[in-house]
Amino acid sequence: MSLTGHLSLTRGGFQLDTGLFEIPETGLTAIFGHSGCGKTSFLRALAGFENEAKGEVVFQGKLWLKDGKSLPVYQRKLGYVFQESSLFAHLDVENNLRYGLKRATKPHHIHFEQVVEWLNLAHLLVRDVQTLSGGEKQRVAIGRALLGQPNILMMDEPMASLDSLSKQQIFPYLERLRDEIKIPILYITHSSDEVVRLADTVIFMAEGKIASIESIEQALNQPHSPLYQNQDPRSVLSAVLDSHVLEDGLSCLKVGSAKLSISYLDKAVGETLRVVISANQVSLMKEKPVLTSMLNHLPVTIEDISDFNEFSVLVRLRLKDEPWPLLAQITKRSVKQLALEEASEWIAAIKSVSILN
Amino acid sequence: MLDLILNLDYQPLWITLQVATYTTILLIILGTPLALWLAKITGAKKAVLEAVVALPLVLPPTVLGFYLLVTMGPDGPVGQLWASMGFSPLTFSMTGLVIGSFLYSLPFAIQPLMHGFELMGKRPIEASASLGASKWDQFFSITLPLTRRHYLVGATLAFAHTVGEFGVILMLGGNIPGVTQVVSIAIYDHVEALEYSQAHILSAIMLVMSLLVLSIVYGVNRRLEVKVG
Repeated sequence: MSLTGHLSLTRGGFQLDTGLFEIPETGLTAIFGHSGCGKTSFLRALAGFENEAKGEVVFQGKLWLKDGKSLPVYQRKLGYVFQESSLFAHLDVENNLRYGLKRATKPHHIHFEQVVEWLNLAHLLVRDVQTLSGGEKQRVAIGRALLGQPNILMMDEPMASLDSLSKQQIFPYLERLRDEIKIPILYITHSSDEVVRLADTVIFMAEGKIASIESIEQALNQPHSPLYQNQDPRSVLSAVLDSHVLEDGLSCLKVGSAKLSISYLDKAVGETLRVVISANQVSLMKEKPVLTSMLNHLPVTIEDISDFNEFSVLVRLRLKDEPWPLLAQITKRSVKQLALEEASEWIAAIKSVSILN
Repeated sequence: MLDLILNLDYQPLWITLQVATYTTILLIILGTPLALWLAKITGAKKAVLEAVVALPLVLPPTVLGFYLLVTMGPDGPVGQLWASMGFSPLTFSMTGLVIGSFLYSLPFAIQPLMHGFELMGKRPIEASASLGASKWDQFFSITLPLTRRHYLVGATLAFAHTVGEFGVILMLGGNIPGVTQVVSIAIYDHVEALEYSQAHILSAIMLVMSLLVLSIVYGVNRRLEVKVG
């Protein structure tokens, strides 16, 4: 119930009409959709940059927009990071960073030294902003927004103008940000990679409308999700690293109450991970095989069988004590031969598993 | 010759300087909101208003001066309103000269400012608003420093253009020594009276002063350029 309302905006031939939305109070919410679907217009209207926007916006009980009355942006306590860094050309890096800090009401909960450390800016402080690289500029812009002590951080494709090397370099900073700051983050992107790596919640947009707002697990577990452009359907399960079996070079994960072996993973026992299993890497068998090179075979229950394409179906399987389903892509012929039906119990053999992040 | 230099009436120089200074200050203060507004609007409204502001560029100064004389004179609408408020007449006064110069030099101040605001775009203002800066704060901490070169150019052009003014002042202020006689008109008078030496002295002073002022302005402009880019 953190950020709610509805917005509409007409400009030229483009029409934004979000319908009612409700954006969660915590974590990173990605706004995902193709170029030109209205992501930026939506976020700008939400922030209060579009004077013609109509509708209603309430943030943490405070009216931002109602009946044509708009709370001025400078009173909203929001941080905004633009596609291009938009640093102030007449100020050096330190004074750019301090611009919002000077104007923020005390007490400050995000401190200058903290942000400099987080975003690795110490060696840049005295530099002129024109001399920074694209990635450095975006880090300064993010730091500047944070030091304004915002109650919400809005980012409009902060990595869009960066080359892939700079993107790789800035990713860890964003992940750290998401994990360490307590305020909600809204993050526009058209890259499903970024959604998968960063988001807790996804807002899907298409043609100026919000198609749906889903948790990341929900979003990733829909075979036809827009997040998978032309990719095979896959399941995403959350797992806990249970133990390492060093002599075999393996790590053992707990998924629900089942155990999954994967090749050794350099992480601490007890960490939570997201496991991705492609549906075509899962096969079904009646009995647990006696001799096989496949490491993982888990007991499952069939929940649902639906057509996927002309010759194959998608079988939704349930592991014990796991909230998210496992998908298997199986030929129609196998369905007939094995006489698969709902509620029957099977063994799912998994050929390969990959880990997100 | 020395005698001539010492006994020359330098009041026209002083009056010119006063008119140009007041006009420039007024243009910068009142021109800022006007230029900000013109930079923001779009479409047919913008085209018409830009044309109105640019009018003094193409209009012969005597035409502008004539219209001002008609409206601001004791029988004109503005003149009558002015008189009814208890002020002394606008025509043939310093106030009248400043008002006339203000309109005459308007495009020279507005156009560089407008260009500067358009060049800057709305992004820096949006960024500063999101960082908690109020409207006035946004202007003084962001807009003004980012467009200071345009302010310098606008102020210089407006000042220089007012100093060189002749037609509007002649129509509106006449030629009252010590009150409305500016240097350009004084030089004209000297030439008319075949007092070439006096005209030479005033002209030389104007030439040297103008060169000096422009050199300083261009020097400062270069330094700002190096800093802001």
